[in-house]
Parts: sequence; C-alpha cells; structure tokens
Amino acid sequence: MQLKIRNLSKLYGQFQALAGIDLDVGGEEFVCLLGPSGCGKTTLLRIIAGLEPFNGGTLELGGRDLAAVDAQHRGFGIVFQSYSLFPHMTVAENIGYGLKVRKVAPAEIAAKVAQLMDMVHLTPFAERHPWQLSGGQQQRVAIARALAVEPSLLLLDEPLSALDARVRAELRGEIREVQRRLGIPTIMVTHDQEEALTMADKVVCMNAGTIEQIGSPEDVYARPRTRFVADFVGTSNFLGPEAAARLGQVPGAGQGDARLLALRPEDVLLTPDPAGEGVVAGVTFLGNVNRVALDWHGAPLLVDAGRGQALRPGDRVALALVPGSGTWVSA
Amino acid sequence: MTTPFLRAAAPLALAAALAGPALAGDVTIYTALEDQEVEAYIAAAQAALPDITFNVLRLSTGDVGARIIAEAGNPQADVIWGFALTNMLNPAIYDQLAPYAAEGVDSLGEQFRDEGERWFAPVGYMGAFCVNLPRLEQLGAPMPTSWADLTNPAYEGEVVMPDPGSSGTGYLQIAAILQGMGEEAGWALIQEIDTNMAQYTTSGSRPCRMAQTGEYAIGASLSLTAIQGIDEGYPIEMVIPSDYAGFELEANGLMAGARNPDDAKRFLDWTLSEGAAAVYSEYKDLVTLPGVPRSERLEAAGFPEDLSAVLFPMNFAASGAERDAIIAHWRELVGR
Amino acid sequence: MSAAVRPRLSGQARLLFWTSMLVPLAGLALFFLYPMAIVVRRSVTLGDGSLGLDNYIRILGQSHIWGVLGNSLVMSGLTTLICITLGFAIAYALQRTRMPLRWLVSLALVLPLLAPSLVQALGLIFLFGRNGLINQWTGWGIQIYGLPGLVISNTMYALPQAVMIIGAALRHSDTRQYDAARVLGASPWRRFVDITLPGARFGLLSAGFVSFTITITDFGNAAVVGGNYRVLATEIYAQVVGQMNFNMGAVIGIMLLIPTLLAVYLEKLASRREGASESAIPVQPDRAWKRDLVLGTLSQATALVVIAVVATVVFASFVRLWPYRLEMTFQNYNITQENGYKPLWTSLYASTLTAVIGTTLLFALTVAQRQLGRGMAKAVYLLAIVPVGVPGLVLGLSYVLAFNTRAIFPGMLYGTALLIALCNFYHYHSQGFLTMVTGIRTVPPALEETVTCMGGGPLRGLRDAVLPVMSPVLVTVFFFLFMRGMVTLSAVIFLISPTVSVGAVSVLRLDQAGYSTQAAAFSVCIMLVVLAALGLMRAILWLMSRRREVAAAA
Repeated sequence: MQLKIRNLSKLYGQFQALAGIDLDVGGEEFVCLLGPSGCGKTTLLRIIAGLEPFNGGTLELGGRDLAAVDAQHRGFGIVFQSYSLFPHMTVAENIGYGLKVRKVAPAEIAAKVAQLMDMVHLTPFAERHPWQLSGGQQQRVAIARALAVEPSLLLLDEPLSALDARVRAELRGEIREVQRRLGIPTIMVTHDQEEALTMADKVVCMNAGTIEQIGSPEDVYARPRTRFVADFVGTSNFLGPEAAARLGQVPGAGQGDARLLALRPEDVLLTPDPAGEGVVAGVTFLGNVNRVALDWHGAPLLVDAGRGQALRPGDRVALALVPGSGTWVSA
Repeated sequence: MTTPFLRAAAPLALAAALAGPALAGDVTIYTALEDQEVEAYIAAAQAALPDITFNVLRLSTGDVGARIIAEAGNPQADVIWGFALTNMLNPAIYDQLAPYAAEGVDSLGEQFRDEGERWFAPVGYMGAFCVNLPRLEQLGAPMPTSWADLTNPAYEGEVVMPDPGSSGTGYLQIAAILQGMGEEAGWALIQEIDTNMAQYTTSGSRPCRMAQTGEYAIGASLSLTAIQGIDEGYPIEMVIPSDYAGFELEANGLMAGARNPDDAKRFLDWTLSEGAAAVYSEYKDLVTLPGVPRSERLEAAGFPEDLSAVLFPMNFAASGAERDAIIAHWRELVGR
Repeated sequence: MSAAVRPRLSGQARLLFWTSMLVPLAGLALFFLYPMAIVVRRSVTLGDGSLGLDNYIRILGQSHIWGVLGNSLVMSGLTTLICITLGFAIAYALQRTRMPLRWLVSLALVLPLLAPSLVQALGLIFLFGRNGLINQWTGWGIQIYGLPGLVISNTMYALPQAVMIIGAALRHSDTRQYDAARVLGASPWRRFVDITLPGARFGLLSAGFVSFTITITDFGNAAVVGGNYRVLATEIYAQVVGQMNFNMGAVIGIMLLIPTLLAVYLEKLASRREGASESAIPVQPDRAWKRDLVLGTLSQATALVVIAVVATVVFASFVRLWPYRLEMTFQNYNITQENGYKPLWTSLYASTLTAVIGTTLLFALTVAQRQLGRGMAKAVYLLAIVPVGVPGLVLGLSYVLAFNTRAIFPGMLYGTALLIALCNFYHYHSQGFLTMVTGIRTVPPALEETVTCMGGGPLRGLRDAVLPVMSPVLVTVFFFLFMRGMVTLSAVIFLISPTVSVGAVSVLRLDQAGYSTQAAAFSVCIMLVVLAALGLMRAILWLMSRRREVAAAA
C-alpha cells in the first residue's frame, strides 16, 4: 500500500508550519524525516497519524483519502520518544492493548503478545510495570505494542533520542531488523543524521516546513541539492564560483541557481608544502582521521587528513580536489 | 548554656506573675442568659458599679456548662450568672462553687436558694409554646393551650420540641410532665404527643425559631425565646401550657477559684438589688424576688399573682439524679 | 570488600533536616497528640475516677447507638459516593472540555468555602424548607429535614475539596498516552476507561477519603437540617453539651476515629508509589458534544443549586423579617450585639496566623519526610493525616482540657487568638499535608541535584529548586488554611473567651437567638472579608511576580 502526500500544508494561526509537502511512502520502505528542531517533521508525522488536522493538499493511503478518517481508524502504529506506555498496565497488557480494543480473543492476544515479546527480547519482563524497566526496554515495549495490531504503516517519533548512545546503537539495528522481517512501511522522525543514514531506505530532508530533498542516503550525502542539505547531512565546506575555480574544475557550475560548491572534508587532499596556499589553523583528532581546520585564501576550510599525516598549526599545505567530488548546490 | 535560658525565662515569669491575680476591678462572668438581656443587665450593673470592668462570656446553657466543667482544673470564671439550676446542681459544677450569702438572699423563697448557700436564683424561665398564627390558620386548627391539647390529630407533623438528650429545655419539658402526671400517665402522654411530633431538635431554641419562620405550626421552647420572636415581629403567639408549665430557675453563684472574689461578691449582691429587679421585669416572666409585679403577658394569660401556686415544685435535684434514666427511657419509648 | 562510604551530610543540611523534621512533629505532639491523649484518658475514666472500659461497654450497650452509627455511615457513604462521582464529572468538565460557562462552575465551587457551613444549612431551609421559597411558590411538599437535607448540605460542604483533589490528579496526565491509545484504535470511551480513570485513581481515593471523614465528623449541618436523622456527631454534642458527660462524649469521639483509620488504611493499601512524569505534556481540552452535554448539564445544575442556596442567604440578609416581611433593608447589617463586628477582625487575625504558621510547618515537614526511610516515612505520613478524623467538637474540647492549666506553659496560651489559630491549623492538618505531599512529588529530583552540584547548600536548593516549583501548591494550601480558619465553628466554640471571639460563633449566636436575617448578614460580611483578603493576597502575589519579571528583564 502506497502513502501518497501531495502539496500538504499546515497553518498554526499565522505561522506556516508546513508548505508544499509531496511525499510517497510505499511497499516496505523505511523513510526518515530528517531535520533540525522546528522544521515540521514531527508535525508532519502527527498529521500522517491523524493526530493533527491539515489545511491544504491531499493525504491518501492506497487510494483512500485519509482526511476524513480519524486517527483511531487509520490502523497505523506509533511510537513516541518516551512516556507513552500505560503506567498502570503490565508489559504484556501494554502490548496487548491494541488487540484488546479490537476485541480479539484473550488466547490469541496472549499468543501474539508472546511472539512479539520474543521478537523484541523482552519475554522475562511480561509481568513488570513500565516504571520497573530501563529506557531502552520501555521503547522496545512501545515498539511491540505498535506492531501488535499489524499496522499498515509504522510511525516513529524520535524513538531513540532519549536513550544513551550504546542502547541507541543496539536498538537502531533491532528496529531495522524487525521492520524488514515484518515488511511494514515505516516513517521515522529524527534530528540525528547518522541515524537517518544508517537506517533509512529514503531520507527526507526538511527545513522550515518544506522538503528540501528526498533521496537515498548515498544520494543525499554525495549529491546534496541545497546548502541546507549539504550542511545538515555530514559536514560541508562552501565555496563561491571564483574560489572553486582556483581549486579545480567541477562540472555543473551555474546550472539553475546552483551557485555554491559543496566540498566534504574527505573531498580535498592535503600535501605538506612550504609554498602551499593553505595554512593549518588547528587539528582535531577524530580517531580514524584528523580533521584539519585550514585557512585558504582567507576562507576557512575543514579537511580530513589521514591518521599518519602529522600536521601542526602553522604548517603550509597544498590542496587538491579528489577527482569526481564536489557538488554544486543552491544557496 | 543556662544564662540565655534564664534571660528568656525572666520576662515570661514576670508576665505570669502579673497575670496571676486578676487586675483589681475585673470580674469574669460566665452566663447563659440571652445576649439581649445581658446587654441590658450589664448596662445597669455598670451604672451601679462604675469601678468594675465586666468581662462576660455568653453561650448557650449546654455550651457554658461544658466549658465550666472542662475548666475545672483551672477555672477562669469568677461568677456563674443566670445558669440553669438543673445543670448547676451537677456535682461537676456544684463542687466548684463557694458558699456566699449574698445581700438580700434571705428574701427569696426557700426553693429559690441553696441550703449550702452556693447558689440563689432571682429569675427563671418557663417552658412555652410558640404558635405560628398564619400556619395555624392554614391548618384550620384550634389554638393549643396545654400539653394535652397537642395530642389533637389536627397537629400531625406540625409539632417540634427539643431532644431531652441534648437540650436542657427539652429535658425540662418532659421532667415537668412526668413530675406533674406521675410516671405512668406522663410517659403515656409523651408517647401520644409523639405521634404528632415532626422532629426532636438538637438545640432548645430551635423549635421556636422553626415555628416563627413558619416551618412548623407549634414549637415548644421557652417563654423568653417566644418573647424574642414576638418582639422581632414574627406572627407568633406565646402559649404557656396550662397543665404542666415546666420551669427552670436561672441561678447565680460564686466560683471557689475566683480571682477577684471581692468584686464578684459585689456583683452578686447587685443581682438581687432593686436596680436589678427593675430591669428583670422588662425581660423576665419569672422573677422570684418579692415585690416584683407579674408581667403583663402572664396577667393576660390568666396567671395568678403568686406564681408558686401554678408552677410545679420542680424537684431539681431529683431531676439531676434521675436524668440519665429518664433520657434512656425516653429514647427507648419515642427515640428516633 | 568494605562497605560503601557515604559522604556525611553537611552541617547545614543536617541542621535543616532536623529542624524541619522536629519542629512540625513537636507541634503535632503538643497540639494534637497531647490533647487527644487526654481525650482517650477521659474515655476510659469511669464515674468514680478509676480507669476502665465501662464507658465503651455502656455506650455500645445502648441499642440506639448502633442505629446512630449506621446512620452516620450511610449518610457519609452516600455523600462520599456523590462527591466522587459529581466531583470527577465536574473536575473533568473543567479541565478536559470546552464547555461554556466554566468560570461559573468554578465560582460556584468557591462559594461554600467562604462562609460557615451553617450558611448552607440556613440557605437550604430558606429555599427548600417547609415554609421556604420553593414550597411557597410551587406548593410541592418538599421535606428537606433528615437524610436528604444532610446529604445535600454535606455534599455542598465537601464537593469543592473533592474537585480540587481530583483536578490535581487529572492535571498530571500525559497527552502522549492518549495519542498512543488513539492510534492503537481506542475509542474516546475506551481511552477514558483505560487511561483517564486509572490515572485518576489516586486522586479519586484521596477525594473519597477526605469527603468521608469531613462529613462524618460534621456537626453544624446535622444540627440544623438533620431532623430526626441522628448521627454520631450530634450524639457527641448531646453527651458533652446536653448531658455534661465528657467521658461519654470522649468515647464517641474515639469511636468516630475508627472509620477514619479504616479509610486511611484503605487509601494506603490501594495507592501505588507513582513517579512524577518529569516532562508530561498536559492534555489539551477538546470538544465532544454528547459528552459535553451530559457533563455540562451536571456541572451547571450543581453550580446552580449552590449559587441559589448562597444567593438566598444573601437575599435574606437584606430582608426585614424572613419570610413574612420581605421589604429590603440594611438594618440587619447594623449588628451591635456581642461586640458587633469585632469577632470578624479577630477571625481575620487568627486565620492569617493559621495560614502562615500552617503553611510553613507543613512545607518543612513535607520537605523533611522525603529523606526518611520507608518505615519512618509511613509513620509520619499516618500521623500527619489522622487529625481529619477527629470531630471539631472533640478537638476543641481536648484543647480546653489540655491547655487550661495553671502552669505557665502551656497555660498562657489559653484564651488567646493564637490557640484558636493553632487549633484550626491542626484541625485541617491532614488536607494541607495531603496537598503538599502531592505537590512535592512533582518536583524533579534533578533540579535539586543540579543546585547541589553547583555548590548550593540545601537552603539554596529549597529556595531555588523546590520553592519555585511548589509555589502554586504553597499558595493553595495557604489560601485553604486561611479560608477554613475564617469559617470553622465547631472546634473553636470552646476556645473563645469574653474578649476573644470569632466570626463563625457570632453567626451561630445570632441564629440561635432567632435573628436569622442578622445571622445571614454577618455571614455575608464574612464572605466579603474572605473574598477581599483573597483578592488582596492574589494582588500581592501578582505584584511580586511582576517585580521578578521586571528584575529579570532589566
């Protein structure tokens, strides 16, 4: 089933929260809505869930217009960042809640709940209450609860943001695995670009209520179309056309309104050269690479150098473009 | 360590020492007389005894009695004034009184003063019905004149009286009936009246209050309660039951623990004086001081000059002793 | 492996803890336990002075006592049920719906708290009595005396407090639970049954507990509208005041404690230690016409009845002679008896004392008891909420017995407004404590910990972390204690002296003397004074917050 959004807009009073949203989610896709706080990604998710109304555009699922359907009847699943488990119900009761509401027979509920708890590795915790579980365990319960009703769409609202890094990394993998196994189309909201790149089939970059770019993680990383995307996903250096020319030729200059060259730190090669045009301003050890802050013709640049390259502030370096790298983006 | 403590304690001790004996000229009076009366009497007393400051605590009979008993360990009052005799005779209170032969106490009849000289009663009140005229007219019933009349079925659900268990007034009324008719006949009458009785109220004045606002046609309370209502302008009439007009004496006594016994005694003397008698006659139907003319109301109601002829010789002491038994029996018989 | 070494609390922290623990407890000991101990002693003192359980046996042997006990339980039980149901409906309507005229309902709920309970009873009789307005206009023979009148007047008395408690519980819900349930397919009704009700469980229990105990101990309403429906509270009055039998009165007073203790036990049993949601997103009110219609009608009807009763009293205060001469006059306000309006000002003074002392002590106790171990904390909790089970009459009497002594301390307190203030505080100690404890659960531990790590001592922690979060609760408790102090009657009637009296007693006296319109006028004055004082306090608070804002912006 295909979720089709066309030209969706949302107003809060005078404030335009969303405008011109076009998006398709289908089959077994894992889609990430990525963007900074306030960009409207959560609003969009809530609109899809049916928890908020929208002002303009269309929202369809498998050809069916969802505007008239209440959240209660859309048959989706939703997982929030935190605090959405029912505190007075046990883990098993929480997970089985959706089925209870659908008046499924208790024996069936028990079986389904057991299956899900196994899938999220929580079987020993069936009779515990939410306040007896850790954050990561609580989120697993929330995921199981959402999946119990076999939703036609799974919605995740920053589910990992409240967890610590290690748990986050574990759950990332688990969520993706469960989703692939069950084959449910999923939309996840996040502000963490690393999360989006590792988990998504499709990344939707949002900024100030609009979608700036939709594409696969590689697409969005290697071929950003706007300055925002280039800057938000990974790190980028931006050069005007004249400065870019000095470094080398990159095709695509001047096309449309693409007037800035976006260069990733790994797109530039450094060689120590006493006559070089770049001066090292500082070096940050990142573990696998050294990130070098350069001063080049008055412009600051961030370039990655290998672990072996021992550069110090004040050293002069020569720059060269990695062939085939660099993208022209609109400002 | 001790010096700061002593420094703090010294002023306290001083204050306590000052608070000990009452300031000369201060008399603390506990009374159950009505607010209106108290104002008038104190004004007169102040005129007669200008150098004394009167501190009066006025509460209903029951509340004042409870207060006096509760304070037995450290009495705060100098004088008990205008307090129901039946309650005065309660040992918990009687034992707190000191004998004092007030000036002029000999002029009172024997039944109006204590053998042990602990109390004397210059005034009293009688049980009376408050009858609501408009309501009576609505019912088309005749004016009741006695307790026996109250058995008239025309009054069904229209009569209220106080609960003898919680109100001295109520107790007074049934004690009068029992003493007048004798036990058997008395209980029988009480039971008959009970068929018409709508409520037994907690407080003694409430039946009359209910009658005056038209909640019920007949409320059995006290003469003074009725008079207050009539003076206020309520359409009620006071009826003193012709058969058993129970009455209560309002007694005065000096507290043994009085802090200012001298001025207290002067006040007690005043309560028997002519000046006091003059004010009594304005408010009281029952004045035991000789030479005080009977009130116009009583005259109009056909009472003779010498009230002791019609008032039942209430055996107050006996009333007190048998109180518990009578209340228990009443409860069993008609209690709700 | 050696045992973990815990750093000792700083000197300041220790001092703070012990002071804030011991001072309130000492207060409870001196001004509650000690007087109550005397009452217990009296209850087992026999006529001849010896000790024994004869009094209890005698009382229980009186067959009518069982009927009276049953009456009390039935009346309180009914009232509690109504208060919980109606209270929940109204609290829900006020918080979760957009029903019109919500302000009217809030106003109506404040009214019964502004005047002595006597006023509601009077108003009920003026309206619904046999010769009241309704019967006069319609000729229906409404019988208000007895159980119906008692239940209505006691409901009016307890409902505002029930709504307050349940409202506080509803306020702490998190909208995300509702969103999750909605997406899972739960209908509005299911969401109500599965989320709202269980979430409000603790509040409902608390409200039931408070309603039950304050109505079973109330005497004022029973005396005026009780009719022949005898309850334990009037029985105490009968024993103590009617028959001068303190010891028997003490027995019944102790008997009344039993339902309270039972209620306390049940409440503890059923309540779970629910953690505070640190960043709960509050639920927004919405529209649902069928639900709003039902709840709205219920709330408005209740508000109407309450306002009608109070309005009748106000009307009666301007009437020449109720109900026979309805010309309007100001005469009733010219009250000269018993020092006229002086008791009203004494009330104001004493109530302010109650509020200030009470709020401080309760705050200290609440803050300190967090640091106790489970057993001790439970004991302190129980001690703090027992006072509500003691009828005002019994408490006042116990104060006379306890404080009327020749010894300087505590004898010098007797007859003072301070003692009245303290008596009022301890009479309402339980409700104040419950509210405070609910409030302190909403303070995130992280706040205080932040202050500590920044180098702030415990006092700073209190001032900068706890107080700001708790300030609404503190204000609520302050207002509550103040208002209760202004209108309480039964406890203080034993503590007044020739020179020190309170407004509520004046109202009682005027009514007993038959000046019901003057009693109404005095009550209106009390209500106005309370409203004015509240308005003044709110204005001061607003000014203080403005000053803080200005200072912050500067």
